[in-house]
Amino acid sequence: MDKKLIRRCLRGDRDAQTEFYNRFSPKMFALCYRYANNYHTAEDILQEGFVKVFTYLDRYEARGSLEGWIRRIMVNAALEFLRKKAPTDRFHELDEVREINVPDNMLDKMETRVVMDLIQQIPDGYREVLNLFIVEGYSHQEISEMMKITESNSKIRLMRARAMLQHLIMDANHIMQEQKHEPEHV
Amino acid sequence: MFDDALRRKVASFEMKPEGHVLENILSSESLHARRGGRKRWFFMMMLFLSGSGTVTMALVLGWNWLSGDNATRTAEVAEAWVPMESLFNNSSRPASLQTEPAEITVQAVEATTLVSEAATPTLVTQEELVEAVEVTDEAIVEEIGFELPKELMLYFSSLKSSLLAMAPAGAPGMASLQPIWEVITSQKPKNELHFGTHVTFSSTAILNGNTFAMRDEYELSAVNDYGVAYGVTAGYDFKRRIGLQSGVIIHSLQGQRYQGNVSNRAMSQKVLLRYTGVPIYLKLKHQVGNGTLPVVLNALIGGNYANLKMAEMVMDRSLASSYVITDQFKEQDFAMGGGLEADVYLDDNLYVTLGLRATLGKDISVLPLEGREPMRNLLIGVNFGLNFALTK
Repeated sequence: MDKKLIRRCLRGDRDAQTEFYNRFSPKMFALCYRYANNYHTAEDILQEGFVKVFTYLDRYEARGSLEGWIRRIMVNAALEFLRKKAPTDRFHELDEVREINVPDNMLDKMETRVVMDLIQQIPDGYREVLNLFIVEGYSHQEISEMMKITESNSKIRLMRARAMLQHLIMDANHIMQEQKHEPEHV
Repeated sequence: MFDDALRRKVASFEMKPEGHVLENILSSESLHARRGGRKRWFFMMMLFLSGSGTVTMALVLGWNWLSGDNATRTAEVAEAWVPMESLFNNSSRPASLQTEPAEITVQAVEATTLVSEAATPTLVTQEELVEAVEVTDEAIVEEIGFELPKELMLYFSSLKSSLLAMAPAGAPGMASLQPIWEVITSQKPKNELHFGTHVTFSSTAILNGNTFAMRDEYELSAVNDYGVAYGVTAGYDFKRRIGLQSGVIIHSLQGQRYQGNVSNRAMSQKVLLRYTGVPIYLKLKHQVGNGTLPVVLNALIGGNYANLKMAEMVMDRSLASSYVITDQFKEQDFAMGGGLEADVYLDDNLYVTLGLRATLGKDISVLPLEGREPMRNLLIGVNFGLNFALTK
């Protein structure tokens, strides 16, 4: 199925490209949304990413999964986009924040879209490391090469990003709890 | 723990983007620029074909045509032709032909004699069917001796020009032009198997084959003739833009027709050569067009091995007659060839091939090359094929 679809895409078949896009864009847009700091930036990253996917689709080797290959392109597109957009802002120092314990069930009960919005609030350079390490599963060595930072810096960024997200989740949960207990105004 | 919970939460989350994103992607200039890059391939193929055309013209008209010395060459060749009768001297023939007995029964005697309407079958010697010329000019002999290297040099020169056109866009200056193998090896595999059948309608000729007609009393001249070839093809694309194509040419009819006057009577004479063969071509591919029915242009460079099944001379005057002259030609012929084809896809796998092909062979006569010009088979034809592509 993938091969036929790829073949049609390579021939410039618009219907096939649309089918290809419709099939992969929901997951990839969520990925871009995690790396971006707002909705429109996520759209821009998705757009640039898919242009790269269609441009280099002939380089895809059917050894690995197509989704994995697209995911890697999207991640690189996101890093490249953010690097171009704010080359210096990404590396501003975030104040040290201590990690706190977030109960698993708290995260599970929270709407995913809310968690995604909370991730967006983490500064660019920290959010990238968090996504790369926790969600994508890259090692600190790989992250250091991708982001051109040291491994130790990658570890520090991860710790601070994780701590910040934990605080954001706790705060968000606290607000939601308060909203639940507030009496409804007529 | 937190990391695992976060990964589970967000890793497989899906969000539907707005519709305008897809529109922007499909109308992206980058995609068009990529397609524009294909123009370079088209240009490369055109350059290759023009180079191949130059080689073919040079072979047809003679190498001195390239050096502007054609007039001198023509005069030399004209003086060099010797009367036909002198070639019937058995001692000047190859040993195999001197001793071989006559075996062919024909319905007309040797063509220089006017044949009566009531002629009975006559046994003639094979030697009498052989016509050859001797080129005595030392300069021409010397030139023939170096002809092959010149062919190769010009052939590779045209190829080189074509390959230079394949260099990536934006290369800063000629020095940075990438050689062919860098370009080819940078492509990822695109493995496809191709199977099919083909038929080629071609204009056929024996270049410098005047040994079969150029007698003063014959007043015959070579005229255009046509042949047909058919067979099966098989190919394998080991890169997206490059592959190998081979197959079996089950039947290929080549040769030359001569027409003119003999004793004020119209005469037609034809040399028919029937071959089977195995072509091997390197195929450079370039896809053009959008939509579900794309066209893939192919430039082919390669060669053809041909095995002679039968050679026949057919004389058409008042009485038709034919001679089997298989032993006057080499059994094996190696030709270099090329072509430009278009694969028009009917669906994902089935496609029709339309194209032009040309092959030029080596000397096909059994006579020693020394003292005469080489005789070569030349085919320029239109190729039709029905093929099936199987994606691995």
